[in-house]
Order: sequence, then structure tokens, then C-alpha cells
Amino acid sequence: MSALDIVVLFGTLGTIIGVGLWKERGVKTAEQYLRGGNDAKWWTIGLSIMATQASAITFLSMPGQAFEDGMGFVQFYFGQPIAMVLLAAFIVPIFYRLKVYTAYEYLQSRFDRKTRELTALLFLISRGLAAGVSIYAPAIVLSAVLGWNLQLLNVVLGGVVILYTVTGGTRIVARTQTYQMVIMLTGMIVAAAVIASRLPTHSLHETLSLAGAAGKMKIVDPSLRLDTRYTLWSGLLGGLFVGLAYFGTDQSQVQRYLSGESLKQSRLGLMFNGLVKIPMQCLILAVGVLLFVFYAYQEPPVWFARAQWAATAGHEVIDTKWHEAFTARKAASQAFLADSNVENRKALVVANAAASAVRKEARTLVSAQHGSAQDTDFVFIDFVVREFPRGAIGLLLAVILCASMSAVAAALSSLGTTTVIDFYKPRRGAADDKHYLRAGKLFTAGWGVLAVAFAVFAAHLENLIQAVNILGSIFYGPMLGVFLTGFFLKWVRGTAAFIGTLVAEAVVLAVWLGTDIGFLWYNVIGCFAVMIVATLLSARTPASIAKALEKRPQR
Amino acid sequence: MNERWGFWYGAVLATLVVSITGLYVITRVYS
Repeated sequence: MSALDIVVLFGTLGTIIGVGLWKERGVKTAEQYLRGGNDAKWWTIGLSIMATQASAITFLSMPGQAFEDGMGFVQFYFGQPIAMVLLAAFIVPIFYRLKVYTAYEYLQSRFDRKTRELTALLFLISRGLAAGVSIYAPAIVLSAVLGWNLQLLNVVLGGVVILYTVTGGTRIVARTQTYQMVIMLTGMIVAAAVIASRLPTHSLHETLSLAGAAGKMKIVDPSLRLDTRYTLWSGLLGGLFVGLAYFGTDQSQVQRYLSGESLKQSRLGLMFNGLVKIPMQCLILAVGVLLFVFYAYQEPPVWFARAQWAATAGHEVIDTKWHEAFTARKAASQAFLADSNVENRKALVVANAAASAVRKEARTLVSAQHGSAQDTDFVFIDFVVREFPRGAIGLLLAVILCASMSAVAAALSSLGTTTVIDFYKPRRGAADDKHYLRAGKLFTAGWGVLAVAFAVFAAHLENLIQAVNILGSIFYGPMLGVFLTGFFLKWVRGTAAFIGTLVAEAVVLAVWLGTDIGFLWYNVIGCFAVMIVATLLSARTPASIAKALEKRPQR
Repeated sequence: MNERWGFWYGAVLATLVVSITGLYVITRVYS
């Protein structure tokens, strides 16, 4: 890295954290610290929501995923705008009316304490694990590419986030996220522009045609296959349920819009997110597709995790095969660009398939020797450090670290708040405001230390982005189910909802371990499982079993 | 859903429909 890159990287991160700490030095009450003080405007809420969702994994893995499998992943986000509308219309007003600090407080007012605590516990487990992954995921990629010490990076990255999150709580998280999101968006626009300027053709039609011949432009898949991970329908329905669960029941997101100045500002923040989410994800995925087109004329490595490849015995044979396959693909690409007739397209499709087959051989070889075989997380960062102009490398590294910090900060702040509000305060009872402010800081710091410890000891995951998404989906279905049961199934009582949630969690785990159903469907299955079981328990025993069950824990 | 918010909800959903339609057209043309 050049001196300019180091200045840009540390200047950007330092300025964001410094300004955040300075502006939020006046956080003095537990309400400001845990809920945010209720003065956030819609743009802060909107950017903060986006920054919470966009972890470093988004920027590292998604371009690589598009490079490998095309832009179909964008379908995952199709349900999200619908979720934003439903949340703004029906759910956010309920939270505002009850003046809650956490989403789980609602469950006690609607059901009982055990249902509230069970759901809050599911959140703490899923978000606590995800916070560790959010530190570890970028650290392992950056350490491999830049030669930085992995464990040092884990500890420094986690330590900095703990420092400012513990100091300023929810308020500083929202403020720094606003700046971080601006850097992320700017960085990705710069990245797309840099890659576009390096393409073999400057015609959009030719660029898309080259990508299309390699299957990268299969964006919308209207098929009804349940075993295909991303289709239009799994995106709309599964994505809707993920969106409702994530934005409606995950405190790391609920905390963002509960800090709004008014219901109107919170709703506008959600609408902003609903409008820009799909275009933003398209931009990030398009970077990966543009990279594929760039590599149509310039030979890429057969395996982007270069250090791992160099340490793989027998890689020279595949390197030779790869060079031949690339040369054939380049010739086919040139012929196709010169004359895009059917024959030339067919030849290019064949050449792409041959190159993919060599990459598959490389994957098999790496898998046999190293256990894990995933290089898509390295595709984008490898290009950045080798091909970007000075200064831009620092900016893109700042994007990745901003993304990691924003996601981890929101997680720690929400984990601390939930621990205080849903578990500590009900047991501790009356105490002054200072006490709960201190408790908030202590629990936030505790979760931070746990997340860093998890990152330090985490083993390499199969695929970073999907690991976090699957992790969420195992818990989100039942979490959403218990909330929807509360909102819409008025006849269901506390114990029925509690048992329904436990049964639904068991069902989702069984589906995960025992079937090939795409993970987006776990959200739908888990949600309906709660509602059905809770309804059956209530409907079949209106006066006897449900009532008896209701009484038992109260004794 | 009151009328004042109907505009925003409609705008978000209309943008979604336009996005999916556009992406589907791109899929059909280039795949």
C-alpha cells in the first residue's frame, strides 16, 4: 500500500470516529444511550438502517458471488421493499405507541415475560454469533491479501468498535453509520467507474452480451423450484419474511428507527431504505459482473486466494490448463465482439464452460488439500489491491472496514440494550438513571469482548455471506412468528405462543439438518409453525389445557 | 394505511415492480 492509501484509509476511519466521539460527547442519560434520544431525522435513520445491514461481507463476497454465479442473488432483496411498507404501516406505530426500548418489550405486554425473554434470547444468540462473524469475515480476507496479522486485525478492529460504541451507545452508532454509509456508497461508485474504465469494450450492450454468454445475466429466475436458493418467488416471499423478521424483530434494526424524532421520521427512513436497497445491491453485484468482463481480456488467476493456491501441491498443471482455457475464451470473446452472431455466441458459451471446468478442477484440488475451497471472497479485493489507482485502494479498504465497523457497532449496541432492558432491569428493579447507563456500557463492552473472542477462535467458514444469512434464517422465522401471532392472532395467550416458538425452532432446525430446502424458506416455515402451533394449542383447549398451561408458570 | 402515507407506500412498491420488470427484461435479452 502506498503512503497515500494509508493516509486515505486511516484519515477516513479516524475522522469518522473522531467526529462521532466529539459530537456525541454529551450522552448522559440511559435513554440517550440505549434508545438514542429520539431526535434522529429520516436520512440518519435510512442510512443507519442500510449501514447496519451492509456488513463487510456484503462488499467482499457479493461482487465475487456475481463474478462466479451472476446477479441472481439480487432476488434475495425483492421482498424487502414490501417488508418496509408493511412495517411502516402496521408495526412501527405499535412500537411507538408502547414507547418501547426494545422490540421484545412488546411481547411482555401482549403475552408474558417468558415469551419476551425467549425471543430476546434467540436474538442475543443469533446477533451475538453474527457480530463475531462480522469481525472475523473481513479480517481473514484482508489479512490474506494484505499480509496483515489476522488475530491483531481481529483485536484492533473489534477494540476500536468497542471503544466508540461503549462511549456513545446508540447515538454514536447512528452518527458514525451515517458517515460510514456515505463512504461505502461513494467507494462502490468509484469502484464501478474504475472497473468500467478498464473494460475491453465501452459499449454497455457488448459488456452485457459478454456477461450474458457466461450466464452472469440470469438475474430474475421465475421458476418454482424449491431447491434453487434464489428465485423470484423465494426472493419475494422468503425475502419478505426475512425482511419483516430482520427489520421488525431484530433489535439491531429496531433500535435504528426507534431513535427517530417522530413516527413520521422513522417511516420515511424505512421508505428511503425500501427505495434505494435494490439499486444499491444491483450496483454491488454489477461490480462483480464488470470484473468478469474485465477478465475476459486480461488473464485472471485460476484461484483468487493466491496464497492458498501457491501452497497447493500440483497447481502448475492446472495453471497451464487455465492459461490455454483463458486464451481460447479471449479469442472467442474477441470474435463475439467483432460479430455477435449465433455461432460466435455458441463458441463463447463453450469457451466459458471450458474455463469454468478448469476452475472447478482448481477448487477440487484446493478442497482436497486445504479442506475449504472458496475464493469468491477474494475476487474483488484482489482486483482492488492490484489494479486500482493510488488513493482509491485506501478508499476501498475504508469501505470494507467501515462496513464491518457499522455492522458490529449496531450489533453490540443492540445486544447491550437488550441485555439491560429485557434481562437485567426486570431483575434489578428500581435504580437511578446513572446505574442503567453504567449497566448499558458494561453489557455493551461485555458483548464486544465476546464477539472479538468468537472472531479470534472462529474456524474458516464455508462461505461468509451465506453463513451469516443462514444463521439468521434459523432464528428469524420463529422470532417473526411470535410477533405476528401477537399482532394478528388475538385469541392466542402467552404459554401457547411460548410453546409455539420452541416447537417452531425445533422444526426449523429439523428442516435445516434434514432437507435440501433453500434457507430463505426457513423464515416462512418457522413463522407459520409458531402461528399454527400456537393456534392449535389455543383453539383445541380454550378452557382447559391452554388455561392450565397458562397458570402453571405463575405458581 | 391512511392516504397521506399511501403515496410513499405506492412509490416504494411501484419502484419494486419497475425494478423487477427491468431486471427480467435484461435477463431475457442477455441470457
